[in-house]
Amino acid sequence: MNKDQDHNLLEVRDLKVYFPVMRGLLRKQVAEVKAVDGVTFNVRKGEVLGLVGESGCGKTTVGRSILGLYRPSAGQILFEGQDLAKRSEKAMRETRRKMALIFQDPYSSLDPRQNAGSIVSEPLKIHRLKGKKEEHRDKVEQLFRTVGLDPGMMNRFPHEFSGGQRQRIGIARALACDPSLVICDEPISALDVSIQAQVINLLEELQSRLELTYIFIAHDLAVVKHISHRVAVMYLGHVIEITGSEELYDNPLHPYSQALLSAVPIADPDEEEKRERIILKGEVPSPLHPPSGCCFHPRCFKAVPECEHEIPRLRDAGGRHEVACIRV
Amino acid sequence: MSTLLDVRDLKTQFKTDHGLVQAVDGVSYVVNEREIIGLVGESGCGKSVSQLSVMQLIFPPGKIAGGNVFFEGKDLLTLQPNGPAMRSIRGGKIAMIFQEPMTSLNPALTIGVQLTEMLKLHLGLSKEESRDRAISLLTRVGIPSKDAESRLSDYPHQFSGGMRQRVMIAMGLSCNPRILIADEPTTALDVTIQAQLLELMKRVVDEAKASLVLVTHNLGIVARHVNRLYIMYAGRIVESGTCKDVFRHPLHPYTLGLFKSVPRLNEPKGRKLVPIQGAPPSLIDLPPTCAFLPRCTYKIDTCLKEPWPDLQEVKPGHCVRCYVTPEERV
Repeated sequence: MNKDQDHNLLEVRDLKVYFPVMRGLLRKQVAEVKAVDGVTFNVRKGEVLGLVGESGCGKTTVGRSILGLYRPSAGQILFEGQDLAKRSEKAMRETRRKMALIFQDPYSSLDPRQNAGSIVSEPLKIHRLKGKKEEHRDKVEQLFRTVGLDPGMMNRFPHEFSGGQRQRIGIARALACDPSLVICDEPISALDVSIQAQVINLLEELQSRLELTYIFIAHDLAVVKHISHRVAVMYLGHVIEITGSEELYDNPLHPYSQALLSAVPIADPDEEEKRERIILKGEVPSPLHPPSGCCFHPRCFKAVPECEHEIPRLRDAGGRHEVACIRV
Repeated sequence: MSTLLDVRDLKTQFKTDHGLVQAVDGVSYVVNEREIIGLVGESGCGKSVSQLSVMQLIFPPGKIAGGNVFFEGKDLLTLQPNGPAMRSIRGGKIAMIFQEPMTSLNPALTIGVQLTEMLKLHLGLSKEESRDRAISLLTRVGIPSKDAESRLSDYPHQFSGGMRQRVMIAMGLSCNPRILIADEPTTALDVTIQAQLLELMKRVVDEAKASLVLVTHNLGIVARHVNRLYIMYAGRIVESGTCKDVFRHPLHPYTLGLFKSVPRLNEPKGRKLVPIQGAPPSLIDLPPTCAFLPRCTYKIDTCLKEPWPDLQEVKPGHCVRCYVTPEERV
């Protein structure tokens, strides 16, 4: 276990992120949205951890809390063994240099009035890593080449690029300060099918070449399986299952994971004919009024009366396959 | 199985400052009775515009430049777009469901008003009759019957994304259409809701003895649900056939490229994805040669010299628009 901890780049312990709901003239807090409610996981150095779940399950909030964009209501986030909450503003700045974020929408995440070169080099300016003029230019050119863009396009503006190229600019910007952890928040879902593979391959290649650690947030399960070593499945602010990506797809234990996987259609009509489909009833409840006990019980096809009362804890079901369900 | 809708050589253009956009350039397809067909392609390939053209919902600067749309013995394109004949078909016999339910519902009117409007207009029902019918429609699309009545007085924003799409399905079905066109009906929704709604659509279309045209870019949805499919690229159909034929023996290099570039859930990890190089072409001033040529890895000399070939039937029911034969494509 100790040895394990040495290799953990990131540890998230019982993270809770609640957002207050304010109403009325005096902006009194009337309720809380429990966006993330007790999430624990580790990410080893050089690992790709996939974070999957439906919209509103808290996967993006987890990612943003790690970057320090949201202040956790409770719990700890340890980056390289140090608690982020206890770091001073200055130290936090240094830590944040080692973390980067790739956004979902390559259209709205690039400033339309900045040229591509200036977008990519902005993190260098912010972190005062900007060297001499020539060095700086070399560095930016090198970043362009790293992501497969022609450095000659540095003076162009975002609207002159295609969606796939824009996402490459976003990736180059994320890599500018040599981060060790990159949070990819739905990096390909805004792209066309034939372009997605280009970006997935680029992300994969960069990960192994630069020994990056990724947290890969996405709702496309096939893509997550393809790129991740381990996958955490989230539902309504909880991690309900976490295991190796092959293991999850071959042997999902949590009823929600089973339903989620069976809901994803496979591009193979012969395979589709054989598959068993679990169609869930209803929709994801509001995190404003989460159900009692296991948050999944109102939609669960395996629920028993105890599920309404008992909050299942994430536990090891053998072979580092962790699941939060009393029926497993 | 008789043919319900027969679209021949449909052409739709948009006049822009940069030139004439050939959004749909000679598209032909048929929809048979009680069949589910899929129209597959990336954004900008003309799949939505072709459907809007069939419904005559193309407005300036767009123009339907040619072709025929035969439905029940009539060519719909000869009808006045706003004439009574076309209006009785649009939304009545051919209904359409759009991708984003929030933008296709009027936010200022209740669901009840919007649902009953069609019933009064197309079926000539009275206020009470249309209300009863609206309630039964909502129940049919899975909105609990005890809530259905009260939900009629709710506004679109009071519904979740999935619920709104259910309302759209109810609306589409309200006048017993022969054909339901669903344009990316579940793209904005989560997978479990997606699965729910597609099953629902299949069931209700089957119950109504109607046909379904599913427009999507998702190959998985196509593989799971459709009988026959058409693959579109740059405003044209490049391959068509039964779902099984196309998936088992894809013929067009673009189809092959699509299949190789998407990861599948059921395959072992570690397969390298093969992306299609380059990007889809601009639809302005396309050269007469194959539009996929710049991205094609199988091109031969003929492709560079000759114009884009027509769709050719390679084996019964399986057509492709390509000079390269499967034997040459190694």
